This record gives sequence, structure tokens and C-alpha cells, in this order.
Amino acid sequence: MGDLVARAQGGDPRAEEAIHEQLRPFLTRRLREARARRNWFWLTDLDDAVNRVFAQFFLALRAGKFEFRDPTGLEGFLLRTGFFVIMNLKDKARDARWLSLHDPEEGGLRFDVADFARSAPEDLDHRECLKMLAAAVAALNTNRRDVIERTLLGQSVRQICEETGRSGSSVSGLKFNALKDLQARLVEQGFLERCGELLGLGEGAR
Amino acid sequence: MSDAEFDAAAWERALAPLAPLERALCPPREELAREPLPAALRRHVQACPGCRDDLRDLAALLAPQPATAGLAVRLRLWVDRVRRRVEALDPGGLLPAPAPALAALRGDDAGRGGARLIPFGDGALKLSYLPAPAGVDLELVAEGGAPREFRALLGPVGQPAWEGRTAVEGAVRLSGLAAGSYALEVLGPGARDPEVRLTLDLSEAAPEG
Repeated sequence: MGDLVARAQGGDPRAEEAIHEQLRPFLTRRLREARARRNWFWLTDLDDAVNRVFAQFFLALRAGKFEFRDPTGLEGFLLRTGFFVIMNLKDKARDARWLSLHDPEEGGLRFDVADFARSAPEDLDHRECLKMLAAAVAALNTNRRDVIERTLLGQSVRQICEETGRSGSSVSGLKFNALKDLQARLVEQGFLERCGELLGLGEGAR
Repeated sequence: MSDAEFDAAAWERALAPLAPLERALCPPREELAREPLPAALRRHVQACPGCRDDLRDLAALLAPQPATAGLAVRLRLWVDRVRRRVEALDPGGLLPAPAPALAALRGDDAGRGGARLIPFGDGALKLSYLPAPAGVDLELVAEGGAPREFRALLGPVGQPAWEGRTAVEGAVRLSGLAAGSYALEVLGPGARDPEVRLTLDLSEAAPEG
């Protein structure tokens, strides 16, 4: 296998083909298992994902990003390449608003906006805005705060209804009032001046 | 501002970049996949549901599906559980101690049996494996002059993925392991390279020997 990898690193297509043939069943099995375990419902085309992983994998090999030591290390490198490809697909699902980070396996809501703000890199413009948001979220009443935190984790109104047992109108009302509370508090604290441009909030948001 | 004038959707859109789902405040995934995670990133991961979610995805990819224990293993675990219940009713009871339930261990320093000493630092690590209702528990205890603080990484061979870290008592326990092959690496305080590397075969096989 070490010889094949060396040849693939030199751009030999036959070596790439041989590696692909040997490792494809392994990668397919691992992706299928992980999809089932992690509920990657958005990964609908497994073959396409496998092909994308191999494309990235051979690019990385040619770019000298891997040094062969043993077959297990090669499999590990292939799986890590798979991670980056899968995360890109996950980002697309997120952009389509299919994803929520609310994770029942983690005991439900484990998200503290203030903790999250403290952990952000110091040099990020977003950090100050997030701190202001965290303080405003902390001042909400319990029900409104719950709905806002779930919204920040990506849950839709329908999902919040399912998990909290509230009606659609109740959740929508809580969300509307929570956002209005946040707006009032944030505007009062100069949020628009500091973060309005960054977040695309114009004067009309006042 | 009246309710009718308030644009809730605009505010929701504006706050979205501050949400963990957007990853605007998260490190690049290349850094997130680094092993071990730098301290600053660990703090972020603890606070960020998005990064925790990503790391669980990574762990699911790196760790093969745990093998389901075979019938013989389950029977042995059941017998052991019953034995312990009987002993609880009858301390010092009449039943003989069972052989280790899952016990094939190999590696450079491997000996035989349910516990062994592995050279580590100026002392040794005592490695014990114990049958438990949910699988097998592994325990590592620093003895003698071995560092009381160490990290143990366990996972599929070549890709240790799960981490245990000592608190104050110089011991790590990794619980509920299913049958299968695992790589175990142990690192001393501040070390980047493992001082101990072992392959553990937790299977239905009897101890090698």
C-alpha cells in the first residue's frame, strides 16, 4: 500500500484507481454507519459523498498532506478527509434550514448564550455583539428565553411545538414577544450603533 | 414601537449570525479536528453546541460501529452479574471467582490475566479489565513513581478517539466497552507523544497464552 500511495502522490492514475478500489468499501461502510448513528438524514446520496471524499483525498495526497506510515494511518486520513466533506454537506443542509443543534442525546437544550460569548475569540467583531445579546437573552422571562435559545439553535416553530408541547400560536407569540423584548433592550444599550452594520440592521430596526 | 410596526423577522435574521448554527464564531474544522484540542478550543467547544455536534460526527466516523457482544459473552456477563448478586446476599460466598470474562490483550508489554503492570514514568500503570453489565470496564491506575496525572486515549486501532483524564487520584476508568480491537495510548503530563501504546483485543477469546 505504501508503494501505491507514493505513486498516487506522484499523480499516477492507476495507483489512484487501485487505492480507490481497495478503500471504497471501507469508506462506504463507515459513512453508512456514521449516517445511521448520527442521523445524517440530509446525507441522501451516499455514493456521491464517497466520490467527493475520494476526490478531496487524492488532491490532498498530491499536495503532500499525508505521509504514509501504515494502512491504518491511511484509513484515518481518509476518514478525516471524509469529515471535512461531510461537514460541507452539513453546512448546506444548515443553509437550507434543515438542521437543528437541539440534541436530545445531550439532555436537550445545552446552550448558554453567555458562555458561548465568553468562548468566542477576542478579536472577533461578533464577540461584543454576542455579549450584548447574551445579556439581553438572560433578562428574558423563562418561557421567552427558552423559545429564543431554541431558535438560535436552529429549531423551527414546528419543532419547538413538538418538543415543548405548546401550540403553534403560543410558540409564535412567545417568539414575537421575546424578539420585541430583545429589540427594546438592545436598542437601549447601543446595539444598533455597534452591531447594526455588521448584522444588517438599519435605522428602521429602531 | 407598536406590535404592528415591529419587524420580528428582520430581527431574527439579524441575530442568526450570532447563533452557533452559523459557525461565525467557530474555529475552522481543520483546527477542530486537531488532536489533542488546544485549551482555548476546548473552552469554545464546551460552550458551543455546533462544535460539539461536529466533534460527535467526527467521532462517529473514526470509531467503527461497536460490535455487539456475542451470546457467549453475554452469558458470561449475566453469570457474573448473578454471582455478584449472590455474593451481596452471602458475603464471602461459596461461589468460586470467575475467570476474566473478556480477556485477550496483546502489545509490547502485555502479560496475561485480568490485570497487569505497564512501565510508565518512574513507576507503572496498573491496567485492569472488569466485566460489567454494559460491557467491559478498563481501569488504569498510576502506581509507584508513575505520574498521577495522565491522559488515556482509546479508540479503533490507529485512531484513538475517546479520551480519559485523571482527576486527582491517578486513575482513569473507561466504561462499557463492547467486544472489539482497541488502541490504547497513555500520555504523561504535558506530553505530546504517547509513552504507552497497546492494542487491546476485547473478544470472546480466552486469554492468550
